[in-house]
Amino acid sequence: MVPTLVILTLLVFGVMRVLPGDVATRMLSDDAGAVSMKGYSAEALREKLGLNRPLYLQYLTWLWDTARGNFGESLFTGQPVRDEVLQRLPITFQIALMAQILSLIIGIPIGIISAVKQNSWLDLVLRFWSIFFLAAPSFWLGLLVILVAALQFNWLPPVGYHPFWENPMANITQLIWPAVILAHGGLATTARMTRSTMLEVLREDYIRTARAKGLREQVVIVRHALKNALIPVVTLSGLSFASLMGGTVILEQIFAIPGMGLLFINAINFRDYTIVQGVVLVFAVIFMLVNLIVDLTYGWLDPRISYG
Amino acid sequence: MRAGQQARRWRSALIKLARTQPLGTLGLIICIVVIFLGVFAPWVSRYDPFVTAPFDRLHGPSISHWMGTDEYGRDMYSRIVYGARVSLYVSFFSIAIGTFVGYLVGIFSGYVGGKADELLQRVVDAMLAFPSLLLALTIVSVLGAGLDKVIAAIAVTLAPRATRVARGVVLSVKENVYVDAARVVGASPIRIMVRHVLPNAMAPFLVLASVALGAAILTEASLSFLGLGVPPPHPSWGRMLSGAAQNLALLAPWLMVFPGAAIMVLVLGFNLFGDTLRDIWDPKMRGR
Repeated sequence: MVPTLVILTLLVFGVMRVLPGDVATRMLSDDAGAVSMKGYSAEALREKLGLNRPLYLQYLTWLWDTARGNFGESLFTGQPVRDEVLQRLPITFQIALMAQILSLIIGIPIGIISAVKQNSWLDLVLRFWSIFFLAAPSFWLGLLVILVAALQFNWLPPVGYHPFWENPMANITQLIWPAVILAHGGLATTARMTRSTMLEVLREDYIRTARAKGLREQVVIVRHALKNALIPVVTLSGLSFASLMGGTVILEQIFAIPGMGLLFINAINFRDYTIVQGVVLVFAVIFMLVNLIVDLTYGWLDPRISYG
Repeated sequence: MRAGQQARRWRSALIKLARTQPLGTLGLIICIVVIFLGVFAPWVSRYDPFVTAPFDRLHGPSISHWMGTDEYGRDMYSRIVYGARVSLYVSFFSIAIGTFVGYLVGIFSGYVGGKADELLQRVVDAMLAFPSLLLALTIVSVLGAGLDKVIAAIAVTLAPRATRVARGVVLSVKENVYVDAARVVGASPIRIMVRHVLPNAMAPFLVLASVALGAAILTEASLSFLGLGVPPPHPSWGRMLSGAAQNLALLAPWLMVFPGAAIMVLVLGFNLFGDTLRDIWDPKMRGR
């Protein structure tokens, strides 16, 4: 994991530095961005940002600063990047987590039913539905839902963020909307995945043995088949957590939720490169952690796998 | 005589395809229709999509405007058809560039092996850990706005997977007896690559490309929705959605329904077709 982490830092650093044109001139060239840098000339700015030093020195100082928690200051507001990012991280994380839970809670039972009653009308409906909804852009679906709700029921999603411990009801009623929309794609994939693994497992010999023993079908499914079928599903959903967090980016824009996604988009629009760098780095670390947890969980769930 | 026989063989093959793979055929039909509309946009559309008509603003769907008009009076149907052009252009080019670069890197990585290969694979892993939208956003943040920048950004999101596929092909071919024989006889690496690697890489490439097309279109739509994708005046379905969502969804629902439906239909077409291709050519990838 460590080498991948190093490579990630190199990539993040590299992407921001190895770009056409000069960072300093670009920052000063628009009147939209880098407000806190306005007083400087291009040369002075380069000096200040340390862009005149050799590249490896820049990388090492950046790495050292970042490791100690100093992510630099926002070019737009002058505030420390770390504070801004960490303040918004829990919000985005919460949305992604809620979406993940929703897609698991709804997707797995649907997949199981679909597998058990294979080729019934329910199964066919589910398969068509998942094919359709995977192709549609999630934000479009969400907007359609809001549109229908607004037109039919005169209702709009709430605005104004409340942290969870301040006001759990308000928090959940606001965040549930992006979470539900986000859960769509994951739901379809989870259901399909569960269905296919269940079908495979149900063909195994030990299931036949269980049935031959005279166990009730329900017991066969829940106690014997389910555990084995769930292993790949869990790993897949763990890996898809990254794409859930990516998906919050658009939804935060639509619902005006002050999460990391919104921060990211605004930073891009305002050319606030330090924030962009910080956000990308935090995302990267989170994804690595999630992958690591998934790997470990997989090893724990399936006793046949052991890590030497 | 022979032409007639040929034609009949094609027809029966198509009918067989339609019967065994109904969804795939549907996907193919959708793709062909949309590509046709996009390519022949100037002839298929009824109005100029760029010309504004202040007296015709925000009309609902009607006989003269099949999908209504937008806030500038432009005909939505024409804009959607031209938007198909843009989406197809962006997705095809980004896939072409992304898979080309990815294949180069993958073939190199698989052929050379050793430390370089390991290093490159770690880089690929790092890139694959990121959701494609975030990757594309980062690239766009660095490169700026613009049609070619968007294509480059989406290409970058597709390249890692192409690298993996190409490397897989090279690794499996490397074991091949024919390759050993060719090397012994003294064939140059380039010749080996052309004669042995490329033919085996064709099928995975087509499978990857058809699956990636849907993803590319969704990424482009998301980027445009956020205002960081295809810039005006090119009509982009994603940007149409963004405009509609921000301002007018309640007044003019058709502004939001049609572009989104267009995206869904095109992605659906590519996905269905890609799934079928995958089932035909790469059965071990099924269920992924």
